[in-house]
Amino acid sequence: MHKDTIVFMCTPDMRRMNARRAIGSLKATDLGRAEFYVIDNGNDPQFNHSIVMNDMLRHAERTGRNLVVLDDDVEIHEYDWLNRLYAAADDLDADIVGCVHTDDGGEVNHMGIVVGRDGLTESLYDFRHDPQWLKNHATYVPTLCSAIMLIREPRRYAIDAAYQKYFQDLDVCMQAWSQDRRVGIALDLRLIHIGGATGNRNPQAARFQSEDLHRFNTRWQACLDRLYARPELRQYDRIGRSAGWMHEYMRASRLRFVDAAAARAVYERIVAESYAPEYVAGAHFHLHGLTGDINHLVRCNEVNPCHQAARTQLEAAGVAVSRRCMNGIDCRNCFFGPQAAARSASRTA
Amino acid sequence: MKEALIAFCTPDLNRPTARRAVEAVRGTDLRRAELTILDNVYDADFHHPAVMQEMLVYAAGRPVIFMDDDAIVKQADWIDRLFATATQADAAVVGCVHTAPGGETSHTGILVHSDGTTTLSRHTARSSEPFVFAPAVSSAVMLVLNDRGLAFDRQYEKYHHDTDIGIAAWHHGARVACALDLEVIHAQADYASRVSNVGDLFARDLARFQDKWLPYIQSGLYACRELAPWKPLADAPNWDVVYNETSRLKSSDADRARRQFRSLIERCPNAWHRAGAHYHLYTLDNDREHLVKCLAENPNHQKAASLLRALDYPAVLNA
Repeated sequence: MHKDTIVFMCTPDMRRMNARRAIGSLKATDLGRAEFYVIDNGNDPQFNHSIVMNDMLRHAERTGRNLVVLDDDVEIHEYDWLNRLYAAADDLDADIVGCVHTDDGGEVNHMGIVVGRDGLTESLYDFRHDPQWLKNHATYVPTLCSAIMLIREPRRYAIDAAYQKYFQDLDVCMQAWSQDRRVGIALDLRLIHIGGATGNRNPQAARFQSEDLHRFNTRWQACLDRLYARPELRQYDRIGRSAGWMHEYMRASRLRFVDAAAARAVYERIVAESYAPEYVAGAHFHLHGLTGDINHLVRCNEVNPCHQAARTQLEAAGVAVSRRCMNGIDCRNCFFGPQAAARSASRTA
Repeated sequence: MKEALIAFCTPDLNRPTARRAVEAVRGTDLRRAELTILDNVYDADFHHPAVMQEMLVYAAGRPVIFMDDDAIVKQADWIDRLFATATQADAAVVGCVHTAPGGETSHTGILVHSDGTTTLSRHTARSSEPFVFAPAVSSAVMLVLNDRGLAFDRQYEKYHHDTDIGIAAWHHGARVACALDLEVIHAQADYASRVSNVGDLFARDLARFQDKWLPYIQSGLYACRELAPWKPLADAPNWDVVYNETSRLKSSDADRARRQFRSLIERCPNAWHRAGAHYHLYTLDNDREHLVKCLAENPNHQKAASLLRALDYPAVLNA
C-alpha cells in the first residue's frame, strides 16, 4: 500500500514506561499506510515541541504526506484506528481530526476543546452533540488536543514556535477554521491518554500554560464571533458557563493570568456566596495575591486553618495567627471547628 | 534544540536487530544529538537515498548522524568521537571502524578502484593520528556536516549513495575521514541478505556510480594529498571483483578459473581471498592440500575444516 501518512511521536525518553506502552500499542496496529517516526530528545532542556512539530509538518509537506501527531502517553487499542481517522476526515470534509480521549480505566476525559469568550478553554467530556452535525459517528469540534491529531494538507498549516509547550494544537485548529476548513472528531474511536506524563514533572508547566494561553487569546479571541457563527459550531457557544463552585474556583485560578480584574470578581463572588470553606479560604488567599490586602490572609486562616501557605505568610508578616493547624492537609477538625463554635455561640446568645 | 540529529532507519522498530541497536544508542551520551527513528513499516516503495536526503533537508543545517538498524555502538562518547574526528581531520563526512559481531575489523572505509568498482577496506593510517582519510565511508554510521552543500543522490536505488556522497565531498574540496578510535558492531547486510535481487540492484547502482564519477576517479580523486596512500590500492585489481568473477567462471570454463585462482593466490594481499581461492581449487581438483592451505590462510573457514575432518576420518578409524 502507498504510504500517505507519517505518524510522529515525540518523547523525552523512549525507555520510559508510558513511551514503551505507547510505541508498543501503536506498533501492534495497522500502519500499512504509514511511516512511524519517533523522536527521542533525551530529556533535552531546550526542547520545544512546537518547533519539532512544525519541522515534521514541513517534512510531511515536502514528502507529500499527511501527518498524525501522537503524544508519548497515549495507548491505541483499535487496530484500524488510522483508517478510522481518515474515514471521519472524509465524512466531515475536515483537515484536522482527533478522537475521544479516555483515562487509563477507559473513562472519557475529553472529546474536543471549546475556546471560551472569557479567554479560557473547556474540555468536552459529556457534551450532547447536535444530531444535525453527526456524520457516521463523527462530528465537528472547535479545537483538539494534539495527543492524537491527523493533519491533512500540511501546506495549509504551521505550528507556531512561539508557544512554549501548550496551545499550539488549539492554534492549528483555529487556523483551519479561519481558512474555512474544518476540525472534527471520531466519536467512536477511543484512545487512552494519560495526560501530563511529561508536563506534570516540569516545574515550569503552569507558567508555560498561562503564557501560552495568553498568546493563544491574543491571537484568536477576536475571531470567536466568526468561529461560533459557523452553523457546525453554534452548539458550543454556550459552553464555559459556571457549573459549580469548584468549576468557578478553577476558572478564576486560570483567569487571573489572563484578566486579573475578572478573576478578582469571581473570587469575590465565591467569598460572598459560597458555603464551601475550602474554596472561600482559597479565594481569600488568591485575593490577597491580587490585591495585597492582608485581611484576606487573616480570613483565609480563620476559614481554613489548614491553609499552610496563608499561615506561613501571616507569620512572615508578623501577624498573630489566631488558628494554627499543622496537619499539612485540609483536616475535618478545622472545617468543623468554626461551625461548632458558631452554633455554640448562637445557642448561648 | 540539540546540535545534531541521529537518523536511525529501520523497516521495523520491533525487529531484534533494531531493538538491540536502539537500546545501544539509548545507553550512550545523547546530550549533543536528538535520536530520530524512522520506522518505514516495511514500505515496499522505501528508497533509502531519498529518505537520507530528506533527513538532511529536515535537519535544516544541523549535522546528521545516519545509522542503519544493524549497527551497534559500544562507546558512550561515540558522538563526541565523530565530531572530534570531523574537527581534527577537517572532514565533512566521518565514519568509523566497523567490526563483525566477533570483534574482527570489517572495514574502515570504502576503496574506489581506478576502474570505478568499490570494495570495503581495512586501510589504516601509518601515523599516530586517530583517524584516516578515506575515499568514502559506509552510511551504516556516518556523520554528515550539513552545512557544506553535500547531498545524497536520489538516482541510486539502494547502494553506492554513501560512496557517492564521499566522492562528492572530495570533489567539492571537502574531506572524508574514518574515526579509528571508534568501533561499531555492524551485522552487515542483515537486511540485504533477505532480499533476492541484491546483486542486480548493486550492479545497476554501480553502473550509475561509474557513469557519474569515473573521469574524476581516474584524474582528480587520488591527486588529493590526503588520499595519496590509497592510490596503489586503487590501481591494484579489485580482488572482490576478481574473486567473484572467477567463482562464477568455474561452471563455464574450469581451466581458466584454475589459472585465475592460482594467479590470485600469488598476487592478492588479502588472506581471506587466498583462502577462498584454495577452497575453490579443492572443489575443482579434489586435492586435499588445497584444504590444508585454505585453513592455513583462514583458520575460521568452517566448510574447509569440516571437509578436511571428513576426509581424514577414515584414516583416524583405521589407525
